[in-house]
Amino acid sequence: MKAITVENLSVSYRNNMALWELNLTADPGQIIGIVGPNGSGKSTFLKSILGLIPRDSGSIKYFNNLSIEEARPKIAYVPQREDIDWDFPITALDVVLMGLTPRLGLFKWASAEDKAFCLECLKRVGLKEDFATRHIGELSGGQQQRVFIARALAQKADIYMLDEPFSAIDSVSEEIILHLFLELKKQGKTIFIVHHDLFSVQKYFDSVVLLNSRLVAYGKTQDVLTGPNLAAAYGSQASPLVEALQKLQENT
Amino acid sequence: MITTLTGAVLLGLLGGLLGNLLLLRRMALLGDMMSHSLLPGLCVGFILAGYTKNYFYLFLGASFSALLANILNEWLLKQRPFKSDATLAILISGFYAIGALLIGKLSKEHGTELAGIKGYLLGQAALIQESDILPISILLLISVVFISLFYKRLILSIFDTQFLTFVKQKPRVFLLLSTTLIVFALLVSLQMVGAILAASFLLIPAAISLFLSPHLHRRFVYSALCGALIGACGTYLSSLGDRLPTGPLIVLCGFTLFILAATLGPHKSTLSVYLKKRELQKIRLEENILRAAYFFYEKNEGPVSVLNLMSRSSENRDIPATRRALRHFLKKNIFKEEAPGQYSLTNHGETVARSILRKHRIWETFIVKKLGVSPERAHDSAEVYEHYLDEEILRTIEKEVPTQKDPHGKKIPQDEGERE
Repeated sequence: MKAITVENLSVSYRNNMALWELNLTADPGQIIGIVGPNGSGKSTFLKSILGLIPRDSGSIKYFNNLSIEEARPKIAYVPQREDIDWDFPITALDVVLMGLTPRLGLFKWASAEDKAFCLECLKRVGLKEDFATRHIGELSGGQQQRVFIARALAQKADIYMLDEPFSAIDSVSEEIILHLFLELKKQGKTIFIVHHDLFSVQKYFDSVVLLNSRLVAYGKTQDVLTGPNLAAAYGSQASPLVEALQKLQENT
Repeated sequence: MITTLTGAVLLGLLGGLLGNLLLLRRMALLGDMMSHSLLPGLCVGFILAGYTKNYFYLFLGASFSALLANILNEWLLKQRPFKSDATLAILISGFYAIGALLIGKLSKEHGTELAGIKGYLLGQAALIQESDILPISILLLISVVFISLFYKRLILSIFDTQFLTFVKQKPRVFLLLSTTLIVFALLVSLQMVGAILAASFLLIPAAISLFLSPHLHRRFVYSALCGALIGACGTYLSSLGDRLPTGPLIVLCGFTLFILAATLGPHKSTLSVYLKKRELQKIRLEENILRAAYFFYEKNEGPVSVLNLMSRSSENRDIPATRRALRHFLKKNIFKEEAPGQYSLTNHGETVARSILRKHRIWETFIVKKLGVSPERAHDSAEVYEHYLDEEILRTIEKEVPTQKDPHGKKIPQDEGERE
């Protein structure tokens, strides 16, 4: 079974092509990085395969033959930090409880059992009970990110899509999140992560989608991170990057 | 007068309630734009109705022009060079200009018939008649039912529209319904506060409630009550003078209350932030005194003076505050006064003081052994952090660096729980 099959995906904004004719398939049970320079269409790619923005062309299938619509209950999405109003008067637990919205009806409030389950989700991202009643604005950047990952856990999804979960977080949060992803991977879940820091790519991902409006390369991380590929994706910015990465590879 | 006051209170409740949605959705300026955009629509409605005040035509005209304003705003935002602050500022003044010109022109030609409409500019509460109370009450009832029935879904729709869209919960329906209620609330507020100030009439009570409680559901209640209060006050004040415009008076009441709340309110106001800081300073001072007292107690030095108690902390230089803290301790049976000006710890006080010293010494040990800080500097750091360590952190540190003695060779007091 394939977790996702993308065929001939193109997306444009105001007559500018953001993504050109992408084709790829991904096996389940891995962590996949979506990497590329600024403006290379990383977030656009994620949002378009989630059906959050319109596509010009292309078909997207989940689990071999499910459309986006049909697959939605099995997909959890963690937005970019910038998309959230952090001053909003809402507690960490309430955010996690949002993950149950598809299961609870229109009028139903969460039961004690639901709450206990969400507290468990918070615990899995290393946030103890006393964090549950805090407003999200009072948490640190890393804790805020973890609350939203806990919401994704509460959705009990099979595919997790995260937009820049590692940006602006502390090393403890990074450790916890990474550990959790590995655990999810073991359970056969598939995790897509938009990521901008090339130097941690090897540490995080099994496979990498290297983008620059077009699909530059896709495959196992070590096969993708080569000089020619990076030069194709990053252009003139690439040469110092390639050197640094090669040094890093030699050291590890 | 009774009719006017009833109208003002009902409108205040309505405005305060819906103002919260305006604030949460960051639509403050958009609300202002919508209220200004009602003005030309009202005039057109007046003309269409054959130069009479016919509610059906007035509402029709106003709704149409509010819709037009929103479409214009969306269209302008699509042109790249604009952000919403600029488009809204332009639209507010544009619609106001058209409205003011129309009213000016109409009042020259149809002065007597227009009397009712002129109040829409700055508001004239005296114009509220018994027939106005019913639509206001119905709108209030609908708003209360809508907000309480859909509270959770409405709030979440505002907070994360994208997420709820993704899980197929149609958040935009709730947003659209709330916008509709807001436009209607602005419309019925026009008679009393006028187009220019209608948006503030909704916004100010909600803004006041920000300083009253951190909890959103309470803010809704407080803000509705504030709206009723300022509506009533403004209307009463305007009835005192001869045809004083009600709108400015109501908003003035609200503005005064807002400034008061921002200064003195119980949540995040200047005063409450200051008091919290003071409280923290007081705790630090008291803990410093206790630690000093235990230091002398350990050395069996007998009763000590106020100056002795201040001597062990570099941050305590305040004699009157130290005396105050001591008086507090005497009352709490933590210290006893052996002779005038000579104090010693009671048995109870000894236990309390020991826990402070424990924090101090555990922190010192931790940063010396784990972080490689020199023992001389460790004391300064511990003076700060001893005030913030809780039992859980202490136990974690103790597990990391199990030891009986601090870096200066002094014994670390045991956790009270463990001693028993």
